[in-house]
Amino acid sequence: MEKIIEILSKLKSGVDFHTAERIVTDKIIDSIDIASLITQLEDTFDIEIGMEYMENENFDSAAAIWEMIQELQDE
Amino acid sequence: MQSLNKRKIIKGICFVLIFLAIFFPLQAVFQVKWLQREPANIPVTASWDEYKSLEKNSVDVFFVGTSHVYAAIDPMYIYEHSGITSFNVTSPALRMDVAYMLLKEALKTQSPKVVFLDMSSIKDKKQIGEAKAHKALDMLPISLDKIRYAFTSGSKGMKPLDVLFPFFRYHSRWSELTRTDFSYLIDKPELTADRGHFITYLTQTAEFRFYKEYNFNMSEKDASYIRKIKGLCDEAGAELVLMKVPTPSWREAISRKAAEFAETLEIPYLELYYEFETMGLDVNRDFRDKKSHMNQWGAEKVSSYMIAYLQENYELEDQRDTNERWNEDLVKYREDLKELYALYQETHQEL
Amino acid sequence: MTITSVNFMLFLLVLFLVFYACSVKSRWKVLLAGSVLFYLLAGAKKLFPCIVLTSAAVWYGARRIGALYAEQEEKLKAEGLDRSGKRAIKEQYKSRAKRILMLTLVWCVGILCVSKFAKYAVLYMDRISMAVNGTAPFSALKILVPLGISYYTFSTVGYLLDVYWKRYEPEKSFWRFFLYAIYFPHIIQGPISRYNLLGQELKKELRFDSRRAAFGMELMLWGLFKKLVIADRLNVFVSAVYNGQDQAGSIFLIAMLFDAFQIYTDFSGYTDIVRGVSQIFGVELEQNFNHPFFSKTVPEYWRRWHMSLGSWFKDYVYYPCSVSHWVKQINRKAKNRFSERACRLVAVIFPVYVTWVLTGLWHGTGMTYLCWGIYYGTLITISSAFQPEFRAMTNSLRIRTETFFWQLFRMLRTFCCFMGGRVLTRPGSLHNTKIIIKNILMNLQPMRLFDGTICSFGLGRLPLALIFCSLVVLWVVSMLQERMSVREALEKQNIVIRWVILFAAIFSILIFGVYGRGYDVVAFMYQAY
Repeated sequence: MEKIIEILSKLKSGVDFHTAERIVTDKIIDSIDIASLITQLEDTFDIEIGMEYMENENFDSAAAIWEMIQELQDE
Repeated sequence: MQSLNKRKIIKGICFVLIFLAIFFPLQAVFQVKWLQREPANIPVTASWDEYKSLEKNSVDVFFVGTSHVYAAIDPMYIYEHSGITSFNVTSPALRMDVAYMLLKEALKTQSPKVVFLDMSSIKDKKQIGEAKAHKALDMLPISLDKIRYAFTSGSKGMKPLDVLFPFFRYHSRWSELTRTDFSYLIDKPELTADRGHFITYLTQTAEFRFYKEYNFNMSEKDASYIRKIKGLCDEAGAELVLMKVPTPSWREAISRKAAEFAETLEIPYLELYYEFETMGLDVNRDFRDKKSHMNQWGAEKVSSYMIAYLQENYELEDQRDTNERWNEDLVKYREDLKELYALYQETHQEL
Repeated sequence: MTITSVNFMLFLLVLFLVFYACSVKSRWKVLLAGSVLFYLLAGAKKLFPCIVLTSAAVWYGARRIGALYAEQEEKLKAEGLDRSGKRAIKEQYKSRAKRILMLTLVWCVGILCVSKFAKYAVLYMDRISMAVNGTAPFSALKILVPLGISYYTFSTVGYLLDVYWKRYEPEKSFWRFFLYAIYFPHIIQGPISRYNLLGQELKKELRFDSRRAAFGMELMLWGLFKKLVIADRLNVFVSAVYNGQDQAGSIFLIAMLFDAFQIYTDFSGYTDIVRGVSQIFGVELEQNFNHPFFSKTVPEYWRRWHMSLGSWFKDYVYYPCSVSHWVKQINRKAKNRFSERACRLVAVIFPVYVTWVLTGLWHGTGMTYLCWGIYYGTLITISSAFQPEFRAMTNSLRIRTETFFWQLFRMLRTFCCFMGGRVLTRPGSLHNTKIIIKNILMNLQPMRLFDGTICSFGLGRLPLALIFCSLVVLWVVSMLQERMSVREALEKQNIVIRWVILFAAIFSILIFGVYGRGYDVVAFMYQAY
């Protein structure tokens, strides 16, 4: 979880990703940020994020991303 | 729930009514008003206003037809010299279908004893041009006939909606509306006294041709509308006479067909072509353009002939001693004539 | 039958009556019949099979994929499978689904490409034949493009991909699906709808709601105002300038400004009309414009202009591109070699350019649109890659970023970027674009704006004044729309005020709208005897 927040913070400074929700819906990070976020998440957690997971709600908060990662690691 | 629905329906109806209450005056503002005498055109709006201002059932003779009729027939001249009241129910390039509608509308306020229907338009197979069609149609209220016409007429570019609601044709006039467009609604300008006649002293030599060889068939549409016009006249107790005003480029075959058709309807046919010389028409003096419209001199000759014809065949009242309105208008009409003649002489000398 | 014609209004009226006369359950069938009828009346009848072929293929393909996934679930439920066994099954079904997906995609995109590029084929065949025997037999072929092909192809392909990515279940009924594809309000110019939104909208019980119908009609009125009063009038001016010879640079600048508003009011007006129409039937269409000229950056601009297209490209081109194996591979390699920033840039560049070049080609084929795509790709890459520098710059210049004027400056900057894109495509060829830019730079002649020249492009003083007034109305209404729902605010007003506004809107469209034949004084005065 902390790792995710670290990655997010590097992407966009000045946002508290511990509490932030709706970061995609409210356009705090844009589609270009998401694209680079994905490669970093994949490398860090050794997962592969397919198009099935490319939905706003999976990226809207650090918690949601964590949930998605756990789901992916389970497979 | 029910009262709510009722309220909504009432609201809806009110909305439509208010819309119409704004729309129709607005349409009247936007409509083109043909009020001025132009170089070649009868001011149809003014003429129609004049018609509607006449006392009910005070006109004994109608002349129905195209520009050739309003150029060649001078009802005021006829009145001046015989006391017979007549009116030109005309519009430029009037085809039989529109003529039928125009006559029907005219018969609402007058009950003429004789109706002359000029046959000039039967030679034209093409539909009337859009601009000319509007001149006649815009004067007519919406009726079943008009709706039928709107959906069946083939005038190029004319849309049914434009025929029924001319506003849609004229809406882009917003940038050129004048004071008259508004004031016309409340306060109509001074009435003319032309009785639908177009006065001009312009003179041009006409090309006189009366072609012999020609293959001609009257269109079924024209035939059916002439029959319908006959029906209208019968209903109104008027006698219908088909006629042909002399126009220098004409074909004998068309006249022959018209005469035959009159025979089938058992009505008279008056071919003024054969009276060209009787009337003393002069191609060098009595016409205003090559397209063979007559000028005032020509009109007076034709009108004199018509007086004789009317007096010989019908018993029409001489109203000169009793009809104040017409006598008043006659004075105004004479002044107009003088004015136009003076104008003609001025410009003529300049030339 | 265009969407602003009287015939369309009559069509709507009849459809409306039939629609609400039928039972709730069969209303969607009325919409389907109406949509097919509209399609036949509005476009080339001969090409009706195209839309049927595309939607049938997508519907069938999605059904097959759905069936495969169901089968896979069954197998996965079987006892005694270990992790690798499950993975093997998944892999197997994934590749089978992928095959169907690819086949269907090639089919649909193939039809799209053929219809878009057929004119070039004809052109080149003629050139060859010209060289061989000196005739051009193919130019006589009239190339027709099926009505709304880019729109329905995109919405159906989006649906197919969503099913493939397991976002939702495929639609069972072909007719339901066909209605989604051919639904008449969105067929000609979008919005490109998503099946999970529009498909569901079309499935709900479509009951008459007078409030919603009134809202729909109000939205239509606003759209008609934008389209007929503003856009079509501006179009007279813009076409006259662009079709003419060399003009002074200042005139070109005005034309570019007018052109920006023309395309905005035209397209957003159109969208408002169709959304209003759809609302009357109880179906909500997606928003397509969100006051793009208030955007402060180019990426924001593209989230607010033709939104359904932007989000389509984001979801179905940009993301798939970003997460594709290939791009990830490049990124990893870059990471080992370059700094983190450079790496981010690499991650961005490829998918952004692919997306924008494709967006450009979607708008139109030819060099101008290719350049347009590269132009936007570059703008967006720059704005993303040099964000830190920009921030440093504003900081060092001590610009207070929250002031009104700074925000206004950003809006104007974005607007200028948009005009820059338009000047690539609107004049028709890059050669013309060059002429325009040259004139603006070397031959500005600003006095031309005041010496009456401006009135010589089809619009006189009064129409120009009218344009000015209607743009003010547009601006005021847009400001209000940013803050609230104008229609709801209107609803709360007293009936007198409400109706005065409504009638003012109706009659200003009827009077000032550019429609029908223009009134030609000369024709009426002098040709009529």
